[in-house]
Amino acid sequence: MSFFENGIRTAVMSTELVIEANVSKKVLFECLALAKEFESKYSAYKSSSLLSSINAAAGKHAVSCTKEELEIFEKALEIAKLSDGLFDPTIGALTQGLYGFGTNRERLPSNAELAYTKALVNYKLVKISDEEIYLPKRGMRFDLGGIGKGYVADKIIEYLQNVGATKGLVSVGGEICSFGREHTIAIKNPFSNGHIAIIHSSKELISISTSGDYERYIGSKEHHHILDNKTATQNHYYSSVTILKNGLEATKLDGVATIVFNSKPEELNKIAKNFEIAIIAITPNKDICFENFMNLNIKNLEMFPFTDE
Amino acid sequence: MQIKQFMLFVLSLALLEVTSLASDLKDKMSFGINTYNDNADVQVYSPTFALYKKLSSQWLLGVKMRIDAVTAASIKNGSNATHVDAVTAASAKESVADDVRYAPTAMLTYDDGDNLVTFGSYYSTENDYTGVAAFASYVRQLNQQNTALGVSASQSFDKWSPVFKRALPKDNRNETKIDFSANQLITPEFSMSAVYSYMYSEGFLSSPYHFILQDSLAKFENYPDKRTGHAFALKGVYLLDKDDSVNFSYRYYMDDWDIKSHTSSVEFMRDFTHDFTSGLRLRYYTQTGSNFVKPVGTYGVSDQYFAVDYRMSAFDSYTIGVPFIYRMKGGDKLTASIDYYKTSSNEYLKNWYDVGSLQSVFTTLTYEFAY
Repeated sequence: MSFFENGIRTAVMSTELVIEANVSKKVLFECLALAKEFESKYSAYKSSSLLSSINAAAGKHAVSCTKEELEIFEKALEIAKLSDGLFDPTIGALTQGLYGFGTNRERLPSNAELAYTKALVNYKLVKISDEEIYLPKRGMRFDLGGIGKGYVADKIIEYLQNVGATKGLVSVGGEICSFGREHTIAIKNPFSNGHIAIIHSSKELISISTSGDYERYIGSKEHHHILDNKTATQNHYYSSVTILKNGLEATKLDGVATIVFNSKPEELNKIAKNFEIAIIAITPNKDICFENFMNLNIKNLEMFPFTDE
Repeated sequence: MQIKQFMLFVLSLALLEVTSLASDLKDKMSFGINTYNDNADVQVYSPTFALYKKLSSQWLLGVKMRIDAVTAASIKNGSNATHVDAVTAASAKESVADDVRYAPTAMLTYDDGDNLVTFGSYYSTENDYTGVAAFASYVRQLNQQNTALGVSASQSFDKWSPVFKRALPKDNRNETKIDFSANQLITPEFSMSAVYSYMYSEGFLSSPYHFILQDSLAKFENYPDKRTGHAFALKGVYLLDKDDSVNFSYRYYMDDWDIKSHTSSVEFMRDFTHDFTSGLRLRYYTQTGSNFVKPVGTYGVSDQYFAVDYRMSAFDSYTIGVPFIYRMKGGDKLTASIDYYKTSSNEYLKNWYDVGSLQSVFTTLTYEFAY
């Protein structure tokens, strides 16, 4: 008998973690420990974390890491390369260093500060080997917030499947993977507390990721946390974008959601085909864009029309 | 820090405040904000409100309200996911409170100069815990009010409802506390009081969320379902001169889980001006471990009890704080304080919170005025 009726629902990495699977409670705890270990290594808000050490050593020296520790950086740089820099994990100089997102010193920087700091965002400068990683300019910073939750979701699903789970659902702050049984997954309405859509997954593995401007911002949504690293400011093409892809792809989707968020509506079709993803993008005017929903591991998708809110 | 324990600490302060109302029957109101922050990612922000209304020359009605907005790395709100398995959404702002606790208290006080009687009730509700308590106290002034004998009692009936559907062995948590106190003015400058406290708890006394994970073992935290404790405290106030005073106290605690603790505190206060008083306070605390705690990683499947909370293990702590009191014209009063708390290094803290020692800062700010 499973100790939980509904799996585990708790808080890790400053977000909600939900795990449901046909495994023992010990395995659920081990999954939770995986997430906690990730937080202790890659949190930008813990001065003792590996990530903070790497950021603090920027422009000074390389930091030794194990191959396992470097994996997430390699994945982040791979997505950066695939997107030609539209997703860039070195955006930390802007997001955390300048805007202060997630800290108690959030502020809107001046144009001069933006122009100067923008030069510190360039994934191509990162030096990485099998044993160490180096940010070569002082002030450069990694921000893994763009893929961290997806990465943990992937790791937990891998772990569950390795120990024999045949059905499960993992949600790390809304980065979701589902397999083995049909799950009902809602997409949050970006304009109210309700849901804008319900996805009924099939039994096949699927990953789902959402980015939006409605949760984290400075003052108003005008200054949300998803920066376009080319301009160091915010785009307002969408209020919410949800990306779906067959298979275990939460890490990639987490990063690609940022790319989609910063791309114009006319570019979505090309992006969807390049990354083999399905897209639901909701504009601030409440227009909804769909792309590439063929052959997706879902049974159906219910959309709820916007009402006057 | 386990938020429930933090709240019990707050409640104990509330009860102390009841007894401190002696001979202070007047209409007054206060607004305040208290904060708590620690290095284990727990933050509590607590606006407070209190209203005392004199019903007659001898009766006073008090109503207090406290709201605690808690963000914690313990357990978060269960989302309203009754009809969906999960919700995909943008990353939430990290400072959003994980839980909000509402705690109203109502009390009635009778004071005829020789007898002070207070009774009242307390209610609290939060995401996964509901607390109901009743309390009463009686203080008898003797010997031309140079001596005071008191007795107070409180009984709480609390209930757990974990945010995920874990079947607890019991869902209640009941606590009984009885205090006997004696206060004696020894000289015009020096008074002493002695307090004996009896405490009894029963029900689910551990956290529903803490767990142990070892190579061949996964268990939820589990404590005995009964606990009886005794505490003896000596407190003194000494007026050094017209501007300076010293408060000091010592408390010894022991219980049937074999936890024994010593608490020493001293507070120096000075009237810097007619309006402004400040000082410095220090507190040192040390305790032994419970009789079921083991070194981290050494629990076995045959063990009956499993501890995760560092307060089941031996540790020391110290607190240093600075209080401020500013008295305004018309009797209005502004009080504030800031305290820093740090524990000794502890493997349980390292294991669960990934911090070598717990460090916290708590502040209070209250504006009180008669109306």
